[in-house]
Amino acid sequence: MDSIYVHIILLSLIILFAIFAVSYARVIRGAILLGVVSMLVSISLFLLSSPLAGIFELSVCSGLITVIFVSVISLTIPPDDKQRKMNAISMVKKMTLLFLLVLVCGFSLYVLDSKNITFIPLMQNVQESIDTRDNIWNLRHVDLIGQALILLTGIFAVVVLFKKDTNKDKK
Amino acid sequence: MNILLNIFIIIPVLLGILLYFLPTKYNITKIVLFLITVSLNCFFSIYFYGKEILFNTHVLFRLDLYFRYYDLSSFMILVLAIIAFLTAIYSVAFMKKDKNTYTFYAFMLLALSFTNGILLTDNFIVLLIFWEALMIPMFAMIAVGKNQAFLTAIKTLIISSVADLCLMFGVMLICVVGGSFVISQVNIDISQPGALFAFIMIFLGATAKAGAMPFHSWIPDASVKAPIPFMVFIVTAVEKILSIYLLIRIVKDFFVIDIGSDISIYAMSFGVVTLLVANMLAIYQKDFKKMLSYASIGQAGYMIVAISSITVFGMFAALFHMIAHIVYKSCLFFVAGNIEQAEGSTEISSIKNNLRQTMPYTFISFILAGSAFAGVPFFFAFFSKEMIYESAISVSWIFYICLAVGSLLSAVAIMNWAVKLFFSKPKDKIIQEKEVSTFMFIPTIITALACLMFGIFHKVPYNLITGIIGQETGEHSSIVAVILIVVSVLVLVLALVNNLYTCKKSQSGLGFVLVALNYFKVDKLNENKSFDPYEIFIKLIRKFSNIMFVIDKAVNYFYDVIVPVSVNFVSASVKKAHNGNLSIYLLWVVLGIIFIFIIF
Amino acid sequence: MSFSLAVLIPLFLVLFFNLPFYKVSGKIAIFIASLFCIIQAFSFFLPITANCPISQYFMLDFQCDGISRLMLLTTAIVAFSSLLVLYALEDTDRKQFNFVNLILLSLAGMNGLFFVRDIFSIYVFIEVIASTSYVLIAINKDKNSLEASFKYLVMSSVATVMMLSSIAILFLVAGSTDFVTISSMYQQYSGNTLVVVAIVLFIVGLFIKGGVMPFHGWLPDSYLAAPAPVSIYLAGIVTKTTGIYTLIRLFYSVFGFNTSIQSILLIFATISIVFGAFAAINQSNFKRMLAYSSISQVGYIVLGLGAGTTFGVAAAIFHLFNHSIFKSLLFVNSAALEKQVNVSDMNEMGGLASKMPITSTTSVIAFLSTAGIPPLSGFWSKLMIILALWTADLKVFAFIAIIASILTMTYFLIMQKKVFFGKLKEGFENIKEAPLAITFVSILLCAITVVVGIFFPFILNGLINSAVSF
Repeated sequence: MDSIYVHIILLSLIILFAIFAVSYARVIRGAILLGVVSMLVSISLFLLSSPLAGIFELSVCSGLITVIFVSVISLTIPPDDKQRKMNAISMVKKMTLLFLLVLVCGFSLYVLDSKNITFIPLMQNVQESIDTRDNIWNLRHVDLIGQALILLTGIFAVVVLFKKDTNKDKK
Repeated sequence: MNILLNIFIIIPVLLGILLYFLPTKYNITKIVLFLITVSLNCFFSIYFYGKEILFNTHVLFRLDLYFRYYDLSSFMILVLAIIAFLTAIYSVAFMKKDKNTYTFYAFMLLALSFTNGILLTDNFIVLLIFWEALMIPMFAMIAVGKNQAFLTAIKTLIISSVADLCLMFGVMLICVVGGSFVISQVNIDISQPGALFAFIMIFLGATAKAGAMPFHSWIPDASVKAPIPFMVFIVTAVEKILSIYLLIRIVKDFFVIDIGSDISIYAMSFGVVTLLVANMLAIYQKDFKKMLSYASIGQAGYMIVAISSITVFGMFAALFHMIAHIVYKSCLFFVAGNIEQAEGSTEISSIKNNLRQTMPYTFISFILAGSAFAGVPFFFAFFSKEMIYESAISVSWIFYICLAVGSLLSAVAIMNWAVKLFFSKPKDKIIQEKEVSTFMFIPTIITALACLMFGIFHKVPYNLITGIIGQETGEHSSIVAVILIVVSVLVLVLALVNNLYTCKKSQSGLGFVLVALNYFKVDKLNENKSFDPYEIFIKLIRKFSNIMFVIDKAVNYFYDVIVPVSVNFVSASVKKAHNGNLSIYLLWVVLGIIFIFIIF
Repeated sequence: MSFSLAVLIPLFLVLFFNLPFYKVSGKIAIFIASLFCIIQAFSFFLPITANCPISQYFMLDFQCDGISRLMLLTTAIVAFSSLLVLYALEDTDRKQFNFVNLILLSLAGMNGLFFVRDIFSIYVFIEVIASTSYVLIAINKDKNSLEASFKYLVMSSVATVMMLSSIAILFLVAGSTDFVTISSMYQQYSGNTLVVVAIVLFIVGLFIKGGVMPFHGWLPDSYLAAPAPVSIYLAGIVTKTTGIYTLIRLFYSVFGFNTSIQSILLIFATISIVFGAFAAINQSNFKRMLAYSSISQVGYIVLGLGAGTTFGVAAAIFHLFNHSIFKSLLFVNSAALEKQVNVSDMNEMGGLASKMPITSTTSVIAFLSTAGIPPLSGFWSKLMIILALWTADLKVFAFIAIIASILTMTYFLIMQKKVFFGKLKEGFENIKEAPLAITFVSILLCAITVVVGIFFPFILNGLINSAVSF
């Protein structure tokens, strides 16, 4: 399972589904396709021998996030047909933009390739596996503080953005 | 001996400033202070005469400024002091009704002190400072004159500034070549590099002060507009004293020039040109004061010729002639002032009364001074003129011919005016004698008598000057002296004959001289003022300012129109480009990344 | 230990405010938060205490050097002004409470950013600051704010992508993400294209965050649509920290200067200065004009950085400090105008100097400082930038910087004339000066500008030399 073709197929599928995810006007399709992309990414992580990251990706991004997206989207009122027709961007335009993006990426790759990239040997001490738990709790406790801050921000975001202003708040 | 400096320089300055700022209720005090200062100046110049005093301001100001009071400066200071005294007495009466009198007094004291400073200093820089500073009193004294005097004052300022620029340049070159700022230490051979140019510059500066062409054109204008005491004090006394002082020092101390060298001949020709043109122009004048001023310029030419002959005899002659000129010219100006006080103006057409009757003592003074002017024997200027002729002849006889012609012209002019003023109106039995006030009368008579006295007793000034210059050496062949005297007398007789003859014919009094001059188109010269470089300069300035105006408009157009329009255009396009569309912004990001990859 | 307190205290304060047992009023929250800001500001002047008995439990992997302490001071001053302006604007109590919590969280994130010595942690804290900013911009929930917040979100995500890929490449190459390892790797492999690509990607990400042209698209809309205290906070400190401080930190502590990277910095800085100034000239909205002016001044900071010497870095830091102060002052004035006059189009205002003297005077001083007029602080920092460029032999850029000062003067003079000078428009007769809190903040910030300008030699030795020695 470790051959390069699997990786190439996985990567191309990821890109394909990502393009699909942004090309539909109906957001709920995009959310579900995003979940599919996350699932593919987690498979790829498994194949790159980092199972913990794969598990996190699967459960959090592919599962929890998609559920949150779908639940929030289903709480909104979808635009009716007339509005949808007004806001629609034609498929042709989307495909042209995609094509342009491909051109830009190709051009940048070409430019990069024309400059000689000499590869740098990997550091040896990365090869020894450091336990993830040790890594997170001992080496990276600063990032944990950051994560706590972001969590609190998320709570406040929900409170601020989704709570209705009631009149009984004193000024 | 610090007291020397104080008396001559500082006290007049301080009193002048005091006079300027005192309020009007102290008018009598002002006049008294003025007279006291001038008298003190006179007294001390007599008291200290002949001593040699050196003085250094090192203790006072921590600067090494040397002042030197020696024979030449003491003589000059004495002459200046006496004239200042006489002018002061005259001006008390002359300017009594003028509202600007006290300004005049204040600035006259300032001018006195600055001149004393120039005569006393031994440092080139201080000389320049005082020389420049002298322009301030000159300007102020002209500007308090009649209407339109302000423009004349500005003209004076500009012409003097240009002349002073030459002087400054010359002085600086002398300091560089001579190597020192101390006047008494400088002695340069004319053949050194740069020395010739320095000589020319400083010569121009010094002669310009006396009124040589082309720096002369302010003097006639000032003579009409400015008050008479100004003309006497500044134009006759101060200017001539300063220029002769500087010229003598140039020729005697600063430079070593050979007699009869090229530079000497050029300088003498310069003096001759001044002399001839000025005397020619003097004939045409219709105003007595203007004629006197042109005559002044002419006499300056005489002195320049004398000094430029480089001989000791020439310097002697110049000094002598300077004193003589001061005495008789101031007398003539005082006469003019008396006439102006009595008649209102000195123009020919406005003299109504028979002045011989109404102002007899003025008439007598005029006769005395006029004779001295013409060069009648036994009057003051006769002796000096003979000496000038002799020094000119010692270089070349051409100069002598020109000088003789010049004196013919001046004799004709003064006789013409004599007729016009005093002999033209018929006697009228009714009119009373209306002489001027005592204050004005006394200086007139004193100077007139001095013309006669010093003419008879000419050994007195002769010995004075010998004490300064030294014994005049050089051959005087008596034959030459006799020829000179004969020629001068002939000139006078010719002028007299001419006058009487034409007086019989017409009222003109100028006779064949006028005809001759008209033949040379000198009258056109007088009308067009084409000899006046100041007017030419003004015309050029007008053209230049028109060009500058056009350039300025173009620059304004650039700043007022082009720059704001282009800035607005760029800013409006940038503002339009920010339309809030997120995809556009993201596109910019992509473009930016591509740009980076291209350039890197 | 004291540095980690700077991060931990706001965190604990937020938790404390939100305990489920009692409600904390908005005003008390503002008061406590302002107190914290003042303490943080003063901590700059106290010596660093490294040893303290409690330290073992709270030891985080923080290090502090001069630049961080200077940034602490700047952040504290701007946060304090923002809180005071919040106090003066009469919002609902709940809203003020939410505001304070978010600002405290953002403050915690920024303080953390100043102390970390690890690239990935830098990214984490940048994300903290960014998330709080998204919410802060949209806190009023009107259409403009939501749209502006959305734009910021999208462009920030692009920046995130760039930064993460860059961190990934660097991690791959160096084996660890802390500064020490990466800088040693850089010294070994600095010419390698891969490394340079990584650095360039990171720089682009930071440019997007910092608002350098042409990556600045979100900036004018966000500054315009955000409520007044948030504008002050954003303009004063958020863009500067996430974008520019990080750049400075990277170039000063981790990477050195490379000619191609230097040229990238210089070119984009120049574009930013010039076009930012041009865009500001024709604006009719006060806050939008200030946003473009921000872009222009950020260009100056990056220009100073692009000079490539430690003197340039010192000049950049000093200009960052000064810019935070005078830009916050200008936004405080705009808050005062917004509150009192309620009109945001400059063409409709006029002659307000007689009615609002403190606002107009302080805004005059702020704009003189921006334009670089002696003896205010802006002059010294601009002078240092120009000198840094000149001594680094980049005379063309120095010249462009000087010419752009004229453009700066232009738009500010237009603003002053339209808003404050001139005749009073009808309908404005009853305008009073802004409430005490706002004027107090204006005077404080104005005083800092003037004092730093006048006592510049002491500031040079005290502040800057301790931060970066050159």
